[in-house]
Amino acid sequence: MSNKRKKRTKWLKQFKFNKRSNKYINSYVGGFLLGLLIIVALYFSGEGLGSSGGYRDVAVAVLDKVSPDYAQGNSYIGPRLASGESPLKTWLVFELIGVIMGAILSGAIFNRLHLRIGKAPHITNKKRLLFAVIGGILWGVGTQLGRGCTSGLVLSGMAVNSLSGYIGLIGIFGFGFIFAFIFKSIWIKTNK
Amino acid sequence: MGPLYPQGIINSEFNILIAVLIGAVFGFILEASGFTNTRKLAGVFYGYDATVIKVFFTAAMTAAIGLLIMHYLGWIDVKLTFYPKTFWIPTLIGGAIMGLGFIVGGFCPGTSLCAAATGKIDAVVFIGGVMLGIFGFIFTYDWLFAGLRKSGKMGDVDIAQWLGISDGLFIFIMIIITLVSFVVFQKWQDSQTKNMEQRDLNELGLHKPE
Amino acid sequence: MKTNLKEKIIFALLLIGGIAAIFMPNYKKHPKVLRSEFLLQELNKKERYISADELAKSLIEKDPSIILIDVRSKEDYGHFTLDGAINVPMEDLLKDDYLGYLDQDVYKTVLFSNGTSLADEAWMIMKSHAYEGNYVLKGGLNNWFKTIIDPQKPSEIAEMPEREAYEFRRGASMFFTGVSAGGVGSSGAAPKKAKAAPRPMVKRKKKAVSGGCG
Repeated sequence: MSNKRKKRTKWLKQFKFNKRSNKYINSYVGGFLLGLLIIVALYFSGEGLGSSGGYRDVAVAVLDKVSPDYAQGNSYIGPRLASGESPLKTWLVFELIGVIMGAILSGAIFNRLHLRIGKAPHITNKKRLLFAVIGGILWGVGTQLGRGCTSGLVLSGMAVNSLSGYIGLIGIFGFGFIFAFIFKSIWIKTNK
Repeated sequence: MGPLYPQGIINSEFNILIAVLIGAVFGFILEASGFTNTRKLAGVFYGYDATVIKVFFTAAMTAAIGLLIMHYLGWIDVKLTFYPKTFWIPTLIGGAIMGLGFIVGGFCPGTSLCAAATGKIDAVVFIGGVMLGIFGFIFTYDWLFAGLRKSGKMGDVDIAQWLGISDGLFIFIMIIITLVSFVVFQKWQDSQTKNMEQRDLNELGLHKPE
Repeated sequence: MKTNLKEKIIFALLLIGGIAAIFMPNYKKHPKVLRSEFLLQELNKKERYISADELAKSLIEKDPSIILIDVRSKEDYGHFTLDGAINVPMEDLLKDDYLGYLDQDVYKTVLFSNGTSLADEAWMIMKSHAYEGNYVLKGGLNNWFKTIIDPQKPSEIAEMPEREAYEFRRGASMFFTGVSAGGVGSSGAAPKKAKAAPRPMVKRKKKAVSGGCG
């Protein structure tokens, strides 16, 4: 009897444990599938997976809505509005709509759809959100200057053996490791 | 043969449908691999989580091999596809800015979108920051960024040919580097997680090394 | 490093693929010449055309992204051209000097000749080298004078859009020539007057330096 009970609590414990832990797919399998997806995107649409370009298209559309004269006169985004087509009607914008759907689907399957703030435990929410917005601004500028982000410039760039992709890789990850050393306290609790 | 859309083999409506489908699979893979977890993303820089390196390099190398084989078979003309032009100065500087943004913000644009979609508030804030950054770039482009963004122009440069070796040899070398880095980063992860409590590791979806 | 079967298979595939890759041929070295089928398809698209009205509107609004390229000969260019236009004769099209204007993704380069065809040929040559951001002025200079400098008054029974277009063109004509459209008698006189008249320069470079985003 007691033996049986022990077994049951053990089983229960395991269940609880599983519920608390995050289940992720194997990283190499995920990477392999992602690689195949890059090939599919290039084969069908001739496009690389990307995201910052889509963000820019949204920004262009917003500016065009708020102040068409300014947007069309701006020498950076003006040429994008020259054709008269909506700046939102781009491959990347539709791809990003898909990304949102896919992420929600995966989140639902793996039970990860919760409102929460992701951060290291020792950082306050306020600090985390402040850092998130600063990091976002840096990405906003960096992607436009560097002509793409981790997915579009680096991942898709590496797939087609482009020099640009590898320069981006050195930029983002190379400098990333240097900055990681400097800003260690954001992610790792230091004994001070 | 490929790419199909740039050569008019499929029409634009179908191309849009493909875009949404590819995006959906992309979002699913990113979420399912744990890229919505900002601690996992940051973990690569501190060694306690090698997921990013594993996913990222497996994907890049799988695609690189696949494309070269398809090119050999005449199935795809890579030069008609997306091909980033090299402007080495702005890409290197922009990359450094993005690297800083990665450490401070804990996301990149693609992963933040997935994270926001699954309810991470910090990711929503991050996306707001990205939009602010882009607007700032647009507003200041003429007097601040225009010259820099166009500097260092090299055109469509293939890295292997730039180094003076064949494309295949370059990919082979990269794969060796990739496989070695997998071992190194796994070892690093094991050494870092060895002293962490399993409770902390659960959030990362990792297990203590035996 | 502990690996399971899935991982082993992926590692093996990468390694085998990598070894196979060594024996694969290179991506072509100077790949910037596009295939003829693709070109033909691009040529059939009309997106490269910009109408005289659209161009006039952009010039009046001092659109900083527009660059005018006159692809006619040096003599023709010296005789008459649009204000602010840069002369790139056909034979110099692929010279490196002009690469900054012709192969870029920042500006909207508008090619023009007397009619459409010479500019179209220039566009085609550049497209075949995958140059981006180039457009062709539909109808060329001839049409420019016909519609913008010396617009014809539409008949009384004309539709509203046509009348609106005429009103715009009359305004544009005054803008470009400094003379009211009614005052320009023959189209032959228009070019000379147009040349002397104060017209907006496309001060692209100056704009880039002095900046001002507002």
